[in-house]
Amino acid sequence: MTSYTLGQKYISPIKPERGVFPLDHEGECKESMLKYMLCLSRHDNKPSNCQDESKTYFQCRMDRNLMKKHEWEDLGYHHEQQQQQQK
Amino acid sequence: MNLLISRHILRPFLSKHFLYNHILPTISSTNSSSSLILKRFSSSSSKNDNNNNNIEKLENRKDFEEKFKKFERNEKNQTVNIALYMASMAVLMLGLTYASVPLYKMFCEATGFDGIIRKSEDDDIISANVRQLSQRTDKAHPLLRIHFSSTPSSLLPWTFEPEQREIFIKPGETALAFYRAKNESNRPIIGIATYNVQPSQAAFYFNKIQCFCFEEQRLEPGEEIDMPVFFYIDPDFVRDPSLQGVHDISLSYTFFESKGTEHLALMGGDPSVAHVRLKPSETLPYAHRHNDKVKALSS
Repeated sequence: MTSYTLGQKYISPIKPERGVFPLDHEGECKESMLKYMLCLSRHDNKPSNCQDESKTYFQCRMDRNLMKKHEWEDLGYHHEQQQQQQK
Repeated sequence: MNLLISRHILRPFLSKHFLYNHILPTISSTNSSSSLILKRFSSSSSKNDNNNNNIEKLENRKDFEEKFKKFERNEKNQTVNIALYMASMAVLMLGLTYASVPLYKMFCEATGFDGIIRKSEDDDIISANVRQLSQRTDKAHPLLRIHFSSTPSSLLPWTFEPEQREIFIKPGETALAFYRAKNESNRPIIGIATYNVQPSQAAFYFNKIQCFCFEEQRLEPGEEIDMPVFFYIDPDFVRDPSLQGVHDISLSYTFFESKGTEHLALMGGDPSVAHVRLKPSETLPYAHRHNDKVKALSS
């Protein structure tokens, strides 16, 4: 599965762990994506400081049926971590 | 050991069957000079004696011929056995070559060898795993640098780049990253992405929660899209002895055009025209340019 197959072989798709992000064709969540990218560039590319923005992005996706609805814990956002960030 | 081998080599020579030494002397003795002498000096003997001698000679000869034939048959059997053995080895090797493809795939998925990601699990298991992450993370561990790269296939007229070059996370932290892809051609294209994680040992700990890979993604001409990847590095990463000094992990994506579906993309995904097969020239990425040229020449 490296990038050097000859391109003639048919790659049969295997389902990834929780599935695929459906494509955001209309760009509905592009705004929150850009905000997240801004936050990343401000905080030295450390996503742990940008949890709010990533939460907003996921919320946007879930609202528009572009992602299955999950609890925040399922996505790895825990209250402890949040409190640590605020500190 | 050498003694055994040399004995094994010498054994045919030691056998009394070698060179038919036990058989020939009987002939030679009867047909050699001694028999001639016997004949000459017994010419005067009675004819009965001669006949008896002849009968004896005949019997000896038959005996020898039988033994020789048996020996020849054994030899033939042996050579046939050897030939069959060799043929069966060849067939076995051929069969192994064919079997190696699925076997290798199974091995790779089970062990995560050479950058292949582990096989997918149940949704509930994943959620449970992610929930337990914060308990298992080692907060004091230094940050890992995740580097993103992309390789669009040379035949695919898409620009495909990561939005961020690298991010810094701890093992056990979930992280969100983006790639951007744009369809530069003027026909709809269906692409499939695959990815690889380096170093190979780290691929075992790379758990992707959700991404845009392994499924066909359709882009309209000129469409630009953001593709997120949501993943984490398993906290057991810090406990792996072979990954002690590793602080950099590289994730590289490759996009291919989905083969066999070019005509679907062209027909707008309409299943009723799925039977239509395009000519090879029409499946080329820049087929539209060819048409333009023809028009220019004819007009």
